Amino acid sequence: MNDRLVPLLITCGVALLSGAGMVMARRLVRCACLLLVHSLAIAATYWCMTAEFLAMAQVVVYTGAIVVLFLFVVLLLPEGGSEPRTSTGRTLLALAGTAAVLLPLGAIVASTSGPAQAPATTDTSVAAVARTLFGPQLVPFELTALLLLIAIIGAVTLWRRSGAEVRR
Amino acid sequence: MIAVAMSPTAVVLVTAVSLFGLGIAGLLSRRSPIAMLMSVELMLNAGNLLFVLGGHWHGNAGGIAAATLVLVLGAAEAVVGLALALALFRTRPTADVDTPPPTPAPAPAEPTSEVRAAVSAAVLPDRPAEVNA
Repeated sequence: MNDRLVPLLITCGVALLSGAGMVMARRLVRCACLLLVHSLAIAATYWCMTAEFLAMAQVVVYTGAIVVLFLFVVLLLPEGGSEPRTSTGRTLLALAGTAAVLLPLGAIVASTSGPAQAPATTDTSVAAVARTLFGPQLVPFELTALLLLIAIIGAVTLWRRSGAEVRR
Repeated sequence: MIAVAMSPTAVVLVTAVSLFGLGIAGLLSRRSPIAMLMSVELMLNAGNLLFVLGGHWHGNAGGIAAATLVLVLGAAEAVVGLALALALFRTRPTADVDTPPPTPAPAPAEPTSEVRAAVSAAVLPDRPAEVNA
């Protein structure tokens, strides 16, 4: 990925700008659309980092499923889910909380020196990812199936229970 | 010095940390539960970027495989979170997570109930009469 500095700069810039716009946009529909741009920019960043499989998974899973699910839910909400204006005190508190987390995190990242000697080549092909996923990471990979099942059952249960409350 | 500061590794590192900070700021400042969930997605993406970068540092595909698992985690989190948010919107009319729900459950405004009835009828087509009652 060392020969792809300029594309990396562009995609990271787009991801940061759209992420900042998403946090600051007032209307939820604009938030969801900016999240769409952000997720595509992240996918392009993965591509620049030679993680082609992850880039395609990001486009299919994130952009195609999660962000569209967000858009769908926003359109389902009454009044488009309009939220009250954030007060100045709340914004200041949020900035203070962000600084409290980000300063130690930035210090850790700044003190990170990277690998002692960088590996000459990194095999990031789909075959290598599959060998890792079905080899050393087989147990977490299988556990994601259980996680998705729990998520589906949980979502259905939440929806049905809240519907019963409305009918009562 | 400039070359060191502008290496691809540094660019990805700075982007990931900034994205994580943006996610925290959004999570703390937004009042709509859906906007808060979107901020969590920002933080997940930041973590994923670091996973891929770490995979490059170690010279294997483990980082990409881990990022794939985080992708699945994000999908599960979005499904449950959005179901929770929708359940929240059924009991209260506004999108403010700080406002306690109205205790006697007052009747919502007319267009709101119409929208809700239409949504419920579309999702539960076998029980339209119960929903409208």
